[in-house]
Amino acid sequence: MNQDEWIKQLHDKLADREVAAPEGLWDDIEAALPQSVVPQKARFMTLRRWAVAASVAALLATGVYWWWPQEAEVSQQVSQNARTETPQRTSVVEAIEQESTLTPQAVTPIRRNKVAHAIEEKAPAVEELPVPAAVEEEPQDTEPTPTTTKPTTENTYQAIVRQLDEQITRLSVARHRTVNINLYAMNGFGTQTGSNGVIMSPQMADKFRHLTRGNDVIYLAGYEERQKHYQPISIGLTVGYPLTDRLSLSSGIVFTKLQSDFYYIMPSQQLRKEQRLYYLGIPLNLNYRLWAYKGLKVYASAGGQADWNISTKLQINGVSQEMAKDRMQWSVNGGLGLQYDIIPQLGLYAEPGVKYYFDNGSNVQNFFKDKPLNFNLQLGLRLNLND
Amino acid sequence: METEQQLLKAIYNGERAALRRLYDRYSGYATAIVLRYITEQEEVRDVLQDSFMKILTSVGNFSYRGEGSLKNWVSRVVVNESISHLRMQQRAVFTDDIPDMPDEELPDIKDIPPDLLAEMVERLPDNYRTVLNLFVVEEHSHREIARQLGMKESTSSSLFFRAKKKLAKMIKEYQNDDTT
Repeated sequence: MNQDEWIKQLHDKLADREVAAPEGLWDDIEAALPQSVVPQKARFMTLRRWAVAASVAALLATGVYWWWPQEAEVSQQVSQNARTETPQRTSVVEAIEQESTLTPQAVTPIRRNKVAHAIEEKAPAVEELPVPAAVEEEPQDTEPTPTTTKPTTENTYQAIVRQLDEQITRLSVARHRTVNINLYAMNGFGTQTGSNGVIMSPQMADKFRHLTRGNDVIYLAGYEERQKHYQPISIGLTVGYPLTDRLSLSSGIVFTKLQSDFYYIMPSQQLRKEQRLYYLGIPLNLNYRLWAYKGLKVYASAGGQADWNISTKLQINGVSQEMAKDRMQWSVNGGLGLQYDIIPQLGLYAEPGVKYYFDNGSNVQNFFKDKPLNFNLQLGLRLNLND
Repeated sequence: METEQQLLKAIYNGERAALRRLYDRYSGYATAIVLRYITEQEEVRDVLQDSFMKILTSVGNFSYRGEGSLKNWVSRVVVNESISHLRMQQRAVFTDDIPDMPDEELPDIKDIPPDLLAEMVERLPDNYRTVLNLFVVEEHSHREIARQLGMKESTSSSLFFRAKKKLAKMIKEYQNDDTT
């Protein structure tokens, strides 16, 4: 008889058996049980899901509420910037991806140049911002010469100065404690390529395990595998919430794309497998402001992220195939950020960092497994909202 | 019949009688599990009592994930208790590097009553029995078993092969006795 079948029969016979419990056992248990065994936090899974959904909605709603009334014009401008930002960033990355022969060292300077260029292009758009925003940024210049309505009496003039003073104090206080929304694009450094011809995959090797001793590696003859993991690309939207003057907590959603190509080279033919994995992640980061001068800030950031594989795409020699989703992926990260506030409400930032992906134990091969420790650069726009 | 969800709701509402209903519902199942791992009557009783104390005092933290999830959780607690008891007693010595033996023909078990089969499993040496139970009944992989019992993966598969061979031998003897 087949072993699997035999095991299944044995399982079915034994698994659901019941044997009468020893006499008087309940009495002993009851005597030892504490008065109350149910903690307050007992809840059903469905309830918990609703709670999560509700808190996300509340967070978004609060963000919009803070943001909307004061910054309507700025937000419009930003959303335009954001829209042009994303495709640019992706095209840069794609351009780099296409040049598959480039080494990571060669890739870095090219990316920096293009990014700098992208930032230059954005700068004029920001200068066109409405005048009130510029007034808030450098109020001293505008004090003596208000352009349109010249004050006629000493009293009104003083009133305006007082009003501006108040605004300045309010802003300078607010600038240290603001809620902010970040839109960013990120990619890891270095496309990984490798070729390790002849070791059997663990799943396959398991079938032959009884022929070998222990955990010997089993080799295949006349067969080679090559793989190439492209750098991950992420786009995210996060909201930061100030905890103290220097410390803030940020979270949001991040969308990540991972692409890998696998080649299976056999004597008679070659198989090309293209794998694309899409992840939706929730980051949680603590940011600590180290230094600030005028609009410039340097901060340190550390945190973690949970990523869920929401979609997979697999093509073998151009034909689409089914592919099971990867397990949840945990990672931790740390980085150093430089932020420049073009106006008090809007900053540009660059955040080089390092990220470590924990092994999630799945059989899915991807960048995270190939290079768990990975340097990356995050570039983004940050909206600073008044508390 | 009360569903697991209804039973849990009653427990969360503080109904003490619901704890008794949980016990009544799963004590037979739990007893069969402990008996698969532990053979001494007194110890079976102790492990059962410890298991139920754990279950009843921590059921409040259990997250319900559909019908059957409570039963599943009960079985996991009971299996873990049984194994930690075995390990504490140092009775199951999980030695490494047992050579594999060639596979033999497996006898048909369709017509063997479950109780008799359980009794045969009970007669296996402690370490054979533990691995067989975890692999066959609890459906753990050798990798998981190795982690649970603190041994090499290859030891787990060797022990399973031996347990299987021994069990097969017992079954064949029974079948031969039966026919003659």
